[in-house]
Amino acid sequence: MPVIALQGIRGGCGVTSVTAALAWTLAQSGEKVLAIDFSPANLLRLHFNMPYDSPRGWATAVRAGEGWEQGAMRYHSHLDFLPFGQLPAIEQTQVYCDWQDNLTKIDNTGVYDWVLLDTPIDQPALAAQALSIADHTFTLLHADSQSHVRLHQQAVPVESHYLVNQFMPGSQLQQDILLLWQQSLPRLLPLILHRDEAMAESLAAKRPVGEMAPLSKSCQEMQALASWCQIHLRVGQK
Amino acid sequence: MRPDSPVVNGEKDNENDDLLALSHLFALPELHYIDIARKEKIPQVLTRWPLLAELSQSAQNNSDQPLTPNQG
Repeated sequence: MPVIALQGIRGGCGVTSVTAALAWTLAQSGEKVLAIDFSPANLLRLHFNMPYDSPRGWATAVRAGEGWEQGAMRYHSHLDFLPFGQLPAIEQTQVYCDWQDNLTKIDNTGVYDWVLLDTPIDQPALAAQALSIADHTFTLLHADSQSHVRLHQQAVPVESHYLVNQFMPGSQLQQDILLLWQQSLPRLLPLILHRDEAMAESLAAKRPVGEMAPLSKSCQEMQALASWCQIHLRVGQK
Repeated sequence: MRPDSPVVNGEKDNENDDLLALSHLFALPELHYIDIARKEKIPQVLTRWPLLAELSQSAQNNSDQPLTPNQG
């Protein structure tokens, strides 16, 4: 049961949309997937059609003295998700849950083939919990100057893979930065995700992009990403 | 729950343990600039964008002295 943490090198890299889309695409190929939101922004659930006003989530359950499992939701027979839950800002940093133990329980159920973790970049304690249980990490990048500077000065999880998201081939600068990364950045994934309105629309539609727009470029690219995961990450787990 | 309650302190300890355990799992990204200037098209890229050229030069100058990772 590979566990993949997805995290942006900074905010706004599209981690939540990609997590939802990858979870849906893996589930479409017949695999059972659990997507867990570690971000207090609590946005992953909205990609899976959850009512905005529902406070339900694992962190909410933990703060209420209940089991984290109480926050779990089912999208369809092969896709479950665990929202973070709606918590007041002051409580968001006071959530502690033994995720190593939780993951063991999840693994022992034998239900899931994949676990995806939507990992925040601006919440170090929660990110640490997610990264500590991940077998693999994807660091999402925009092919822009800021991401490039950050690659020179910002620590990232060791042996992280890099995934370029929202690439705009019409931009000379993005082309140049991508070329530079392809020549110098180990573990840059051999596929990139292009900027596609369908991906932006997926949150507004409250559905993963592959379900909302099956003919879109984003849907095709998510299928390529899911295949890459199935070929490269299924074996050799931590 | 009062902010100074033992449970809250315990949570903070746990958070610190998490961060401590994770600190050795982070590192600056490896950027392999060796010989990159000889590769096709890269010189034009570095000529076009002064910031990219400066970062490339800095990384090569500091290749034996890695920058201190910024855990922020």
